[in-house]
Parts: sequence; C-alpha cells; structure tokens
Amino acid sequence: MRHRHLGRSLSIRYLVWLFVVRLCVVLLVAVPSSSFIQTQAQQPPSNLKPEQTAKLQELKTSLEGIKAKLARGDAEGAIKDCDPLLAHPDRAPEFLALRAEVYTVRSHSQYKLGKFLAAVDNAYLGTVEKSDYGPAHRARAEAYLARKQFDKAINACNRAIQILVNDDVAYSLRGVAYGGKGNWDQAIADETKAIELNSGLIDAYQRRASAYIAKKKFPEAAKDLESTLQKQPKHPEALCDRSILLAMNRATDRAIADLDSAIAVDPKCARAYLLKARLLVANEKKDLASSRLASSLFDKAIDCSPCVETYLNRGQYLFASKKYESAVADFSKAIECDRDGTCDKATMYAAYQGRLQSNRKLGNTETEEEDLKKVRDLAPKPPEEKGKKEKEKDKEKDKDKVDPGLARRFLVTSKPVDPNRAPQVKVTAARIDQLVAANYAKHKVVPNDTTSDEQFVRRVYLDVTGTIPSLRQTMIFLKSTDTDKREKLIDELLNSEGYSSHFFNYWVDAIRYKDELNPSVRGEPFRQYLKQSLAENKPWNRLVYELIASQGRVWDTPATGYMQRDPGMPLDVMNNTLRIFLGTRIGCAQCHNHPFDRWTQKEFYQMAAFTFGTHNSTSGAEKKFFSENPVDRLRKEFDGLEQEEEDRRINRFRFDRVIQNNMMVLHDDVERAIRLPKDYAYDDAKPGDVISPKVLFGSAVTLEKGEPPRRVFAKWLVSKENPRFAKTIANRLWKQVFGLGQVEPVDDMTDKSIPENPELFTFLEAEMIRLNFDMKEYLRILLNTKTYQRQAYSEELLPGQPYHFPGPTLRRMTAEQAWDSFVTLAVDNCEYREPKASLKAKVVRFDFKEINAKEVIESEPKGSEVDRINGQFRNKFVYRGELIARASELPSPVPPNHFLRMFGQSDRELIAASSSDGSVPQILFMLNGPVSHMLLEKNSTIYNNIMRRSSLTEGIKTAFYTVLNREPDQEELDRAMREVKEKGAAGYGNIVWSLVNTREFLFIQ
Amino acid sequence: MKSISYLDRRSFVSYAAKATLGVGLIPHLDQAVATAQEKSPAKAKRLIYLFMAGGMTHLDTFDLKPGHPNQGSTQPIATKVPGCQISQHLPSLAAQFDKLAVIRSMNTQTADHESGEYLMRTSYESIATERHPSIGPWLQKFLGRQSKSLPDTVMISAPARHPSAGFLDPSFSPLPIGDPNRGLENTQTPAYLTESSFDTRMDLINLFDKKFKSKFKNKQVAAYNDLYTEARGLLSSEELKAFDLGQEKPEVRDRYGRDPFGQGCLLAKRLIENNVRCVEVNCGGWDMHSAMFDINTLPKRCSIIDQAIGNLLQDLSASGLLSETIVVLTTEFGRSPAINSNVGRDHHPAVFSSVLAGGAFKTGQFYGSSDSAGHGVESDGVSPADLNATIATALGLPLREEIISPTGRPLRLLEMAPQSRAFWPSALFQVWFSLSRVFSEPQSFRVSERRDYVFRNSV
Repeated sequence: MRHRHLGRSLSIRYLVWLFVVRLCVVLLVAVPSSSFIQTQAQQPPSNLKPEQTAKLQELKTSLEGIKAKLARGDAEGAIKDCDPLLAHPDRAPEFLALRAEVYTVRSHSQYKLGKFLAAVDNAYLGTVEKSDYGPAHRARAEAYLARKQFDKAINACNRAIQILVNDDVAYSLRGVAYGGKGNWDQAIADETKAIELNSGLIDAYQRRASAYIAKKKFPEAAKDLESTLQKQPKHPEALCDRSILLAMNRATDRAIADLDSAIAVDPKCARAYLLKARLLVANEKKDLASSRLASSLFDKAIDCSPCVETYLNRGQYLFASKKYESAVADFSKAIECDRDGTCDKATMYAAYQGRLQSNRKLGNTETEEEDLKKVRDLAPKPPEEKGKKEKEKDKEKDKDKVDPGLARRFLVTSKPVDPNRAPQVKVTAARIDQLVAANYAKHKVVPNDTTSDEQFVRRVYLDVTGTIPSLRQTMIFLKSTDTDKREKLIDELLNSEGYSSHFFNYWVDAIRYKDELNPSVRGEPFRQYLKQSLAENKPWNRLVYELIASQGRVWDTPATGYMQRDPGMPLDVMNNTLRIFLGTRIGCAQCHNHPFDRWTQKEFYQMAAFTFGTHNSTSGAEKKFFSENPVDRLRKEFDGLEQEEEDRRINRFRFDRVIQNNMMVLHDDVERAIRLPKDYAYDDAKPGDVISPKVLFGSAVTLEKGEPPRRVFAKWLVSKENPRFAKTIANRLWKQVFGLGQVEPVDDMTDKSIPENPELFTFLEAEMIRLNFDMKEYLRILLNTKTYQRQAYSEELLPGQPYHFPGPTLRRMTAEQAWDSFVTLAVDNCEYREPKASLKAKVVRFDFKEINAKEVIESEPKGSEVDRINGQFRNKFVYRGELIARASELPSPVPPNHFLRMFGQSDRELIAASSSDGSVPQILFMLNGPVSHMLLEKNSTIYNNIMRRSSLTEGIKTAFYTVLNREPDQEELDRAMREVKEKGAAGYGNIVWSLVNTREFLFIQ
Repeated sequence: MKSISYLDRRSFVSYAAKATLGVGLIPHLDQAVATAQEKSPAKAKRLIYLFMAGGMTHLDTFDLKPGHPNQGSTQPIATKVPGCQISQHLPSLAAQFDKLAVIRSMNTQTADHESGEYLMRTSYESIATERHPSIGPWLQKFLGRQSKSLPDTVMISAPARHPSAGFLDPSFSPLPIGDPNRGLENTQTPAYLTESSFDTRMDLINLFDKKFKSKFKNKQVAAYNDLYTEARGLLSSEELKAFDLGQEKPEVRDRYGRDPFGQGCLLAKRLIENNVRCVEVNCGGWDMHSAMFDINTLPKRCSIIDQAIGNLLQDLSASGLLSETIVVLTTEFGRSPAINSNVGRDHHPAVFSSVLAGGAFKTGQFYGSSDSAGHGVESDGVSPADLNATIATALGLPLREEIISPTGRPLRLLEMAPQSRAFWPSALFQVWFSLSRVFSEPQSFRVSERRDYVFRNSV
C-alpha cells in the first residue's frame, strides 16, 4: 500500500517535471535566428587589411549558408560545413567574433541532433573566442537545460542576460532552469519578465503556465495556456499542460483529446505519451484493452526519450501490475540514467524506493543495502512537532560536547624521562655547577641568589613548555612541601606535550620550515613527524640523520620534508645544513674563498658534491621507479573520459598538478657530478672541473659504489667523531636554558671561537655524546643545575661583553611564548590541535600502479573536502577571527599582521630569523588587540579563576597568581582593592589588563 | 672570552640602535646623506610603489601592437600626448599621459611569480641563504627615519612572502596593512573604556611593574617603557588619522573605487600627505591564463587601476605633491604575446612594461621598446636592478654604498643579478646613460657624475 501512496503523491509533481526535459528539445525552434548576430554592431572600427576584409566577407557568406541548412533541418550537414570556417587561422577581433558565431551555430546543430554535451562544448568554445558573445552563452544554457544541469544553465543565462541585457529568450530559459530546481516563484518571475520584453514569446506563456500548475495556481495557469493556444493552437507542451488541468476537472476525454493532438503535432512528445498512459491507468476502468494501450504508451515514451522519468513511470506501472521483475529492471534503468546525479531528490527517491519494494516482493536482497541507504538519504523530511525539534537540537548539542572532530587531531605520544637516572642527573648537574663556579672565581663574578619558588615555576614552565603555568599548576607547586619538588616538576614538564610544542617552535625557526615546503609538497606530514620525534625524544643524531638521508615521498617518509624545502638549490641546501647542524658557515666560499674563515671555494664544492645528486621529484619516464610510464597511460585515459570541454581544460591543470605532487619522490642520482663554476679563479683546479665529495673536517669518508653520497654525508654529519655535531647541539640547548651560548652565535663557530668556559664546553660536548644525544636528559641535567636555578642577571649585558653565568640572562618571551601564555590565560585546556596529515594523505596520495585518470582528477576535490572539514573543525576554536591554539598548531608562517609576527616570529625565509625586539604595533596589539580583550570576557580562564573566589583579597591574589605567578605586595594589594571597590567588575578588568601589560609579564626572569 | 667579532652583526646593529635612541628608533646612520639631499630641491622625497601581482599583460595595457595577430581584442586609444597610444581600458591614464614615463623594455629571466616578485622588489635573485631588503627599508636605512612613532614604509595588501626589511634590522620592517578600509589595526580603544580609565590602567601598570623595573635596568626593558609611552602618544595623536579612511568624504572614496586597490591608493595618498615616506599598494588578479578578455577579467582589472591611479595622480598633482613624490607601477613579468588555447596569456618575462610618474622624471614619453610582436626587447632594455636604481637615484639614495649583510656579504642597493655580474659595468653604463633620458634636464648632470663614478669603479 505504501507504494500506491507514493505513486500518487508524486504523480502531479511528476507530470510537471516531465515537461522540463522534453521542453528543452523544443526550445531551439523558438530561438529567433536574428539573435545570432546581436553583438556585431558593437565592434570597434576595423583595422583590417583589404584582403582580410574580403576573406571575412566570404566566411560570413558561408555562415549564412550554414544557418540556412540548419533551418532546413540538416544539422549534420551544418556541422560539417562549420569545420572549414574554423580552420581559418586569422585571429583579428572581427574573425574571433565570427568564430564565436560559427561555434554557436554548431552548438545549435548538435543540440538538434540530441548531442547535448557536444552542444555545451561548442557553445563554450564560442565564449572562449569571444567572451561577450551573448548568443553563445544562451546556446550553452539551452544545452545545459537538456542535460538538466540547472545551476550551470542559470549561470549561462545570467551571462547572456548581462551581455544581451533585455533578452527575452535568456530570461525565459532561466525560468525553465529555476523551474527545474523547484524554484517556481523565480520561474514565474523570469517568464513574466520574458513576456514583458516580448509579448510574442509563446513558449514563455506556456512555461509560466507549467510553473503555475506546480504552484497549484490553476486559474492563472489556465489563462496562460489560453494565451498560448490562441497564438499557436497546436502547441504540444501547452496541450499537455491543459490536459493536466482537464484531467483534474475529471474531463478525461477532453484531456485525452488534447494529448492525442499533441502527439499528432509532435510524434516524439514523450510527455504526451506518459500523461496519456497515466490517465488511462488512473481511469480505473481496468479493462484489458486500456491497460494494453497504457503499456504500449509507456514503451512509446521510453522510445522517444529514454530517461529517468520514462523508466520510472513504466516501472511504477509494472509494479502496480505486479510485474516485479520487469519493474526492477526499469527502476534500475532509471537509476542508471542518473549517472551525473542531476536528477532531483524526489524522483530519485521514488526510483530507489520502487526498486527496494519490487525486490522485497521478489525476496531479492542484492541491492537492498544500497537502496535503503539512498531511500533514507533522499526521503522527504516531514515537518516535525516543535517538541521533537527541540529534542533534536539538544541531541546535537550533546554531540558537540563529545565533538567527533576531536578525533581529527594530531596528538603526540611522549616518552617520559627515566626516574632511575635521577641520581646520575644530580651528579652531572653538580659537576657543571663546579665548572661554572670555577669561572666565577677566575673572573671575580658573584653568583646571583637562588630563585624563589614563584620565579622558578614561571621560568621553568616557559623554558620547557613554552607557556606560563596555569593557576592550578602554580598553586600545586607553591603549596608542595616536597623537598624534591623542583626536580619532580622538571621531569613532569619534560614528559609533557608542551615540551614538544616549545622545541618544535625553536627548530622550525632554525630550519625555516614552511607549510608549503615547495609548490608541490605540503609540509604537514613533516611538521607532525617533527613534533612526534621531539615528544618521543628521538636521539638528535638519529633525527638529523633521518632529515638528511631519507628518501621517498613526504607522506611515506615525512623526514624528507627537510630536503624538500629548497628544490633546485643544491649549494644553498649544503650551506644551510652545515650552518644549522654544525654551527659552521661556509656560505662565503660558495663564490670565493672564505674571507674570515679557512674554507676555500673548492672545499665548498666538495661538500656540495654530497647532496648534488639529490632530486626532489621523479617522472613517469624514470625506469628506477616505473617499468612502464604511468603518466602516458593516465593521459590516454584522461583523453578518453567523457567530460565537458571546459572541465577538460580545467581538469588538465588539475591532472598535471596532482601527478606532479605524487611525483615528488626525494631520491638520489649517484652519477650526477658537480662541476666548478665557470669563473673559478684559483690555482688548485680549473673552471668546470668535476669535483668529488670530500668532507670539510673530521675523519675522511669513503664512498661505497652505488651508495648515495647523501647518506654517506649524513652518517659523517651525525657521527660522534664529527668535531662539531655534538658541540653544536650542546651549545644550542645550553643557550635555550641559559639565554646565551658558550659560543656565540650558535650557528657560526670557527676554529678561532673561544667558548666562554672551555672546560665546561668540553664537558658539555662529552656529556651530549655520553647521553647518546638524548636531548631531554641533557636538558634535565641543565635545568637541575644550581646555575639555572639562580635569579636572572639584572644588569645591562653589552654585546660581546663576557658573561660568566651568575644565573640565566633576562629574556623577553619569544613570540610563541607570549602568544601561548595568552592562550593559557584565556582558555582552560586549549583543545585545538592541527588535524592529522594522514586524513588528507589518504585522498591525495596514490599509487601510480593502481590509480586511473578519473581518480586522479577527483583526488584534488577530495583533498579540498578534507581541508573544508578541517576548516570547520578549526572554526570552532576561532575567537574574533583568531584561532585560539598553541603557536605550534598554527600555520607556518602565519600572516604578517598576526600577533606572532608582530612579536617577532620568523617569516621562515631565513635561519633563526625570529626577533624579540619591541615595536609600536606590538604595543598596540597588547593595548587594544582582540587577545587582550578576550581575557576580560566572561568565561575566560582568568575571569573564572577570579570569580570563583569569595573574598576581594583572594580575588586579587588570584589575578596576580594567574598572570604573574606571584603574590601581590601590600602596596599592590591596597591599590588593587581600591580599584575593585570603586569600580566593581570593571576594576578587575583594569587589573588583569594592567598585569598583562607589565614588563614583568613579558620578560622571563 | 667573547669579543664583538663573535656577535652576529644583526644583533650588533640593533643593539647600537637601542643604545642610542631606544628600541624601534633607528639612528640617522647616514645623516650626512640626508642633509645633502635637502639641498637639491628637485629630489623626490616620497615613493608610492604600485605592484601588479600576477604579471600584468603589457600588450593590453601600455604596449599595444595594433594590427598584429597577437593583439587580440584590445584596442588602442590616443593619449594626451600626440602619437602615444595606450589601451582602450585605461582612459583616465591616457588623459594624463603627460604625467607618465612608460618603460616598455623591462625584462627578466624568471617566469615564476615568487622569484619574479622578489627580483622586482629587491634587484636580487632569491636565494635560500640571504634575504634582501625591499626599497622602503633601504630608504629608511640611508635617509634615516622620518616619523617617530610609525615605520617609514607601509605596505598595503602585500603578500606574506614580501621581502620586507630583508636582512636589515626588524625595526626597518614595513608596517603591513591588510585591509585599507580597516587601516592600522588595534588603535580603536574598546567602547567600554573611557579616557580616564585608560590613564588608570597606565598607572596600574606602572605600580605593578615598579619592583621589576627597578631590579632590571636593562636597555631592552627600558625600550619597552619608551614604547608604551610612544604608543600612548600615538593613540591620542593626529598621525593616527592618516590611517583612517573614514576621515575622507564618501564621494572621494567612491571616486577612487570601493575595491581594495582603489581604497589602498587613497590610503597611500593620505599617508604620503602625512609624511610617510614609502607606501606600497598591491593589486592582484593579473595572472590571466584564460578567458582574459572576459568583461570580468582584463577590462575590470584595468578599470580598477585606471580609476585608482588616475585619481591618485590627479590629486597629487593638484596638491603639488606629485613633484616630490614618485609613483611607480610595476609587475613581476609580462604576458605572452601569443594568445593561448584558453584565450589567455601565459607568463612572459622577456619583455614587459612599467610606469614611472612624479618626481623629476621626464614624463609624457615611452622609454625603450619591444619588438613588433611584443615578444622581446627591441631597444634600451631595462632590468629590475636598473629600474630600482632609477627610483633610488630619483630619491637621492647612494647607490654604491655597501651594506654588509649578516652573512657577511657586501651588498649594494644597485646590483645586478649574480649571473650577469661579469658584464655589469658596461651594461650599467649604457643603461645608466640611456636611462638618464627619463630624467628631465636639471638632473642630468648628476647622472653623468654618477656615470663617471661607476666608470671609475669598474676599472
């Protein structure tokens, strides 16, 4: 019974729907041929040479001939005749205009033959020749209508209307398209406009009538049909429409008479056959003759137009006649016809529902799952009661609470430090203190006092996790009476996620990491690899080895991201690598012998020779990767795909891009040799000489046959024997903890560099090696020294002035520390993390052996879809346009007007280009920026902290503990209390705002 | 024990800056130069740099080839200067052609947007180990800072990859303005805050900071104290209004066009009037690979710049500022003369056009030419370095003065791309000499002086 109900509820809609398709085929007749040449008059004065003018005239004459041929109904002949015209090579504006017209005529011809895709393409080519040729846009709209691509049809109509201004046909076509989308009001408006512009446009009346029928405005419909039939008594579509009205008034015989005359005029009018068939079926006589007739009419309709509607109708008829197997076949056909998914929901719902029910009758479950899913997706939503709706809303809210988006996040897994090694840490820390103290004596330095717990907790959180502690974290530490509480806190922080975040910020600054590593490689897999490597405390030598020596694509071997940063710049890559990891600058020797250091240009080239054979991408022709060229195969497949010409052109770029992205395989060409530059000016070699790899210092390396020199270089670079590798990392981390390196700058050591404390530096290097480059353990030792736990140096530190570490230096927060501290003040447990790179890799990365051309093209929109969902997830954490998340979760680089950049975050173009200098815009940000104000709003963390306190004194103390991690002194407390007493909540606002604007907040003491 | 030589130069320079004038204020390193500048009245003082991002088609703007099959549907129109024609899409620039010197022989070798932009803005090829400054920071470097509270250079709608201050101290960095309609951000005090409560807050800051400040007497801390004073001053100063387009009448804003570039040009005018030295305004959308003659592509893009620049020149000239302001319109490359199968033009660095206006330029002329197909340079080729040197000269910068970058490279404002270095003296000589035609007479002696200097240098 359910099915009958369904059939009835759809039938009227159906009848209305059907006309759309058939209608389009008729349209062409109605297009006045004069519109072909409408824009000709606007052409600017001619610059043509006489022979060009003659040729133009000749082509114009042939075009007239083609048009005449088309009018006679010889569409195929017309198409053929267009070719010689288009073969003419002249591209002067006059010729371009003519070509546009020729394409338009060819589009019409294809249309007449029912080749709608070709019609779309030809019209498109017309617009390519001359983008403001209106008739081409209009012809394209018609063809789209025939293909039921209503949105595209509307766009094309809009362009036609824009150019041709008051074009009745374009308006009328747009009306049809809106009707197709179910927007009947707009359809009526457009048809009305068309009639207004040209009261002789008969089709517009009929179309408006159809729209009125759909809107159940029958008197208006009847009136329009009358006008149509008055002017053209045998208008088949109008007759069909009138039959609907007649049938509804139970004037079945007159309705059938109308349909018969429609069929007489247009024997291919599928709609008339269908209507007649349905009328007969509905006419409950049920005699054999009429059902036989109905059956043949359904067949006839399919003959005329094998489409979703005709099959669906017959399927429903067969179902009602209990011929379930045939019904299944028809429903399947209907579904198949909707390959492009352009059909409306209600129709497709009926088709799937029909197949589902028929199969159930047959006990056939083959397509059950698919059909059920579709039926559920497409089912019309019944209006719900209010209570129910609200319940649903609540459900959605609950959903939000356990946000499924959180599963998208990339989270690191940290490896904790070993508690059993604590005694050794103490011993080593003491040794370092001893060595530092030796220098105090030597240079008559008085060490600073030990930090208070308040100072310590703030500093150590910032130094290890990159943010100030939360109120809770502060209070737990301050209240603890444990004598080992500092050691324990250090361990806890090294084990936390914040460690990875903070050191990630440090390293991406050093290695100039960008999310767009190069135009074909996205960096997300790499940055997540880097975060995870830090969190799991991958030994530094292994991490660096992976960065330098890895091969493959970034999705599979994310460490390759490092080498993907500067494709085509082999010399610079070597230069930067030595600077970052060995603290050695050989850049000057790229062009000439180094003026201040001992490196020669030849030595530079010997070093560069190690990585010179490294390629950032491969190609389909590379035998090493592909036995058969996959790109050639995919190109062939691509050419065979059925798609619109315009899409084909866009897809070709997309296709190339996607292929290129997947070809970014970092690999080595062992044979590729580096040569000295042409202007090489020294005696030890000649310009153009081939240079073989040789290391700058340390133990010499031997190259095994077939082994990539890059790997040999990487091994040398990270080996314990390398005289500068351990030194550099020991020095860098020392500077991170104490504010100044043993050697400065940390990335420019020379043989002449004298460390601040040579004995100490030697010891640090040895420790780094003893620890097997365990960075957490090394930091753990440094943080446990008395030296670190002393107060910061309070005097002016002149550049170049020897500094013997009476304590760490005073430092302004880095941009990231400042931002992250604001985030800590604003939100509890900042939950945002960057989405997993694997989500996107899944859809954009492919195996050349398995992929086909269609999948190649589709992978890009699929990738964009992942981006879109990621964006939605991200937007949940956006406050006044700012994503509230740790700096390490934000894009790299952020835009230049972002808080982070204002505070000196690097643009990632140069090594360690971050800065901690102040500027006026920076202060403006602090004073008036959205982030400062966020703190003052309800439900910010600091707001909640304060509001939880019952007494005024407690409230103010809480404000101080939250922002500065210390208690207010009496004067501060008195002043603050007065402020709150006078101004209430606004007073608290003033206090919080003032606290974050203190130097004490921005500097790490 | 460390000594000054172990410091990286950047921290030294910035230290020196802070030590003398506080953070954010740059010492007048080259005061002598600046003083010398003032003596020559014809010297331009300000620069408006308009960058057409994406590669502006030369064949459809300033370098038409009527009658040639490459031309496509763009038609030439006559300009105010007899015999000079430009695109039909630039009517108001045509009417003011007497104010323009159009270079039709720009050329480079890079067809990549990013490298092309970098080369145009810095004269250098981009490399992974060095970041060169753009012209605004150079100006500030040589001439000293003009405004006390704001950077000398403002860039409007600039891309994130803009070379900006390059290796120079970050305090030379141009101030980025994303949306000209919003002006300088974070200057709006929230509504709930009255003037007196702002003062209260400043008092509170000082009280809460008292102990910290008395303990840490370090210059970086002191510099921040100064910055707060400066920012406070700025917020109540008139200077701030320069950034606020709301101060302009709606008619004026309409006149420039209500698109980002039109409003950017108007903002540039306001800033120039308020003593900002260099303003860069970017206009994207020139990367026309397909359907470029579509009404929404080339004609629209042209009408945006025509309206904005036309009004800018008119207003600057009416107020007399044009004589001391240089307006430059340039792009990273031109577009291929042959129209491709999608009716677009592709990247084409072999020849393209740029425009100079204002200052003491000899205007109302074309300089250099492309061949009949618009494909390559026919005469008087101009490289990005030449163009920048010309701009720099017009602004009175010392072209040959060496600045040592933090990586120890000696760099100059006037420089050729490294690969052509071997040829530069003679090439420079020709270019320099011939470019002098771009300048009007009173300037020519200075140019020849420099020519000698260059000549001596090359021997």
